[in-house]
Amino acid sequence: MRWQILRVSQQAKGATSVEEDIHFGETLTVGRGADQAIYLPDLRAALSHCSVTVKNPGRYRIQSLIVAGVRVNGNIVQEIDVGAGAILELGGTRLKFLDPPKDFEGAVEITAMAAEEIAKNANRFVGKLTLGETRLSKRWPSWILFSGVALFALILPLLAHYVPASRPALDPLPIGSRDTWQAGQLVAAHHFFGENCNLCHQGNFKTVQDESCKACHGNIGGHVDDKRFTLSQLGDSECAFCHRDHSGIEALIREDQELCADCHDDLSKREKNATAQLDVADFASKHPGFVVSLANWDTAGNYKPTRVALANPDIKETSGLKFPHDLHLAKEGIQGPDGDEVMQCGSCHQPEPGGARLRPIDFEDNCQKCHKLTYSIREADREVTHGKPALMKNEIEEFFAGQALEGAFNDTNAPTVVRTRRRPGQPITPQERAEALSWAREQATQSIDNLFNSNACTYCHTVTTDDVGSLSVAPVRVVGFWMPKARFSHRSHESMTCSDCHKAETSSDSSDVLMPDIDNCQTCHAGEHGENKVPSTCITCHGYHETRLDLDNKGLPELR
Amino acid sequence: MAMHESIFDYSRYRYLWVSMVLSLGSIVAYLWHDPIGEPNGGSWLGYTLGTIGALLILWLLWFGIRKRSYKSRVGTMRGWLSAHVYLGTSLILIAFLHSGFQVGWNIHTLALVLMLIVIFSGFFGVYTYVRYPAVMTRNRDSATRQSLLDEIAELDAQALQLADTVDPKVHAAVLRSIERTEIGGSFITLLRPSDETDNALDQVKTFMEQRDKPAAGAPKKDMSTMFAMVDFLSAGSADAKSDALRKLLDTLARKRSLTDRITRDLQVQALMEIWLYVHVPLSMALLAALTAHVVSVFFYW
Repeated sequence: MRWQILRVSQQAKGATSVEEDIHFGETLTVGRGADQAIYLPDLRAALSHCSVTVKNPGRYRIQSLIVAGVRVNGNIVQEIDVGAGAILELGGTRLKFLDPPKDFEGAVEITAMAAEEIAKNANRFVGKLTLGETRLSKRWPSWILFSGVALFALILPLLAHYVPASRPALDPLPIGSRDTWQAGQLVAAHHFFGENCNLCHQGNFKTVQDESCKACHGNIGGHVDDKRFTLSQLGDSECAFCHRDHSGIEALIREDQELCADCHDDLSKREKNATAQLDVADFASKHPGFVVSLANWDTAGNYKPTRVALANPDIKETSGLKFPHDLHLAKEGIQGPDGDEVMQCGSCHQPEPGGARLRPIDFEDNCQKCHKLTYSIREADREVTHGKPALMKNEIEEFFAGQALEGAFNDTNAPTVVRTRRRPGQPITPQERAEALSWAREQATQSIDNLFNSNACTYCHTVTTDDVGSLSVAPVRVVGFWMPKARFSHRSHESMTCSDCHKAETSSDSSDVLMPDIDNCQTCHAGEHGENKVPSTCITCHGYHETRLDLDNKGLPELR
Repeated sequence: MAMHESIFDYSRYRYLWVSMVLSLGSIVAYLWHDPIGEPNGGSWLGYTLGTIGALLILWLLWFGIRKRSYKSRVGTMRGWLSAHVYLGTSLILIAFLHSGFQVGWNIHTLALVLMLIVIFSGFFGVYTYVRYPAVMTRNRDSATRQSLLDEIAELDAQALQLADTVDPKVHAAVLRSIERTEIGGSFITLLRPSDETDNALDQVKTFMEQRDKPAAGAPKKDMSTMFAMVDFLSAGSADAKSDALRKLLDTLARKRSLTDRITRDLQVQALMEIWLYVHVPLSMALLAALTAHVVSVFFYW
């Protein structure tokens, strides 16, 4: 096997000279040993460093003969097959394998490296010394992160806003959806349209407009009569000023005391149309005493309640009824049809189904068990229908007329015709008939007088008889809404007893107003910042959007 | 300006005071203000602190530009860095007061989280700034890195020469060791240099054991340290080869300690820089998140 060996040496001024040599042998050995085909007097080479064999023309196999390996094409290897053009570096020498010329099986070009290249190679063990030289970079991660965040946090949500067609694809995304713009959870009632941002937000850097709110909440009134008050004087009038959504599931409605107190603390001074308004700032420290509505009708028959402060010593309810609470609630009991009976408040006062208020008292359900409307000794179970005096009188008259005409009435004082038992169909003479009805009228008049004037009605009602003898019962006007401007629920006060608030046991007269004044509430409730008591803000009892509370011509809230 | 002034006590702690006043002012305003509902970014204080925070972030980002503009006469770099550190720290408080300590799965909290990572990576940077220069100086022992590297190349040449006088096998082993020696490399090797035992030392040791076996018997296993071998050698016959072997061992050991120092030097330097690879890219992510935060809030006001 013939190897062509070209030794290139640098001459002065950059010129090179090539010296050709021929080596015969299967392998080309390279090393520092004198027996090597290519002898390299270089300490960086082993005595016998590597061998090269020709696989086929132009293809060489290089094998390292020592553990250190050999550097071929820049990499340390133990054994490698290479083609022409491969470069083997050993110490300060470079071997380049070539395509063999004619008549040769192998060819190699040997060049001594320049001094500076040797020096550079000596520093080959020095890799990248600072992070800046490595693949680590600050620039492209910065760009990727900046663009990524901008895309998912800004561009995609904006795309969903401007291109409605993209919303079905974009809105459900866990990142990149407009949902990720939400600073907090929507209030519960808004959840069913929460995905549709545009229902409230127009975008384009505009605040949520009142029209958006009124699309659903159109029936919500203002705070007061806007004919008397310009809302701007009460502060920013936009819905969104108070109602801030995305603040949690329950946080849309303001309940803080300042909502009201900021203005009502001195409203009478700051608003010329509200001079009659009482100043309020805190339930414990600055709140007027309670004022109740007493039932009243104007001359035209319209309900016009009279507002009277509970603190007024002359306050009296004119219900038209006589009812001593103390008698009925006596501890030792009160006489009933089945003997003495101890009554409780709940014996008569029962809550409405909602539990907030109490059902109206009803004669048939609450009174009639004891206060029977009987009028005939002989038929002790027979009672008149309560409520309409004229009807009641009719019922009595008809009863006695019927008894008289039917006969067989068991009363020795009655005339014979009334006592006589007649067979069915047996006729009665006109004279007998007149006599019987005369008796009946007499009996009825007596019973009616008894019932209305002495036995039954006058227990509770005031009955008057006019000049022509017709009876009239004073109208019953029990107050149904004592405090129409406050919200109170009996149900949320179930842990209390009735007498904690209503002093009924000591009330002997139905004109007593048994509604508790503010001091009673203040034993448990204080203002928002009250300590050791139930913190109660204005909204605990009062509403803000109270359309019923428009002002009358005196500047006072009027009831509708 | 006193020479000992650091970024911490720059100009008599000027920026510490500035950030303390800013922080305390924010806390007082936060406690004093009475927002509608829970404290949040939408109250007057929320908007105020948000504006301050956003401007602070932009100004802190500007530091990256300022430190490159060598011509700038707006303050000294030391002053800028001092302000960067102190005001950046106060930003944590301002951001939380701005949000009323509310967090959620949204881009607003994303901005907060990115901001916190950037700030805390900055804290690591401050730590390296305080701790590592001294470590570096001690480790280099007044030599420059290049002189250390040059010394390694010199030792390599020496080792080859010595190995050559001992035995071809030893020479090959030393050659291999030289070829395999690598200082630096990828960022992983810079940060966590592998503690590979020097192969040449082991090889030489093995060779010595074999060579001296007939005379002194196999050395005990626990005498495997280099020093033990040197002792062992000097006790043996002091022919020329033994002498060369002893010198070779010495050379290799010196090289070993040199490479250790250099890799430690590189590691320390890498640690002083690595946090910037978190700090800078995430601050750009923060810039995007902050923009998205501000735009989204006012776009859907």
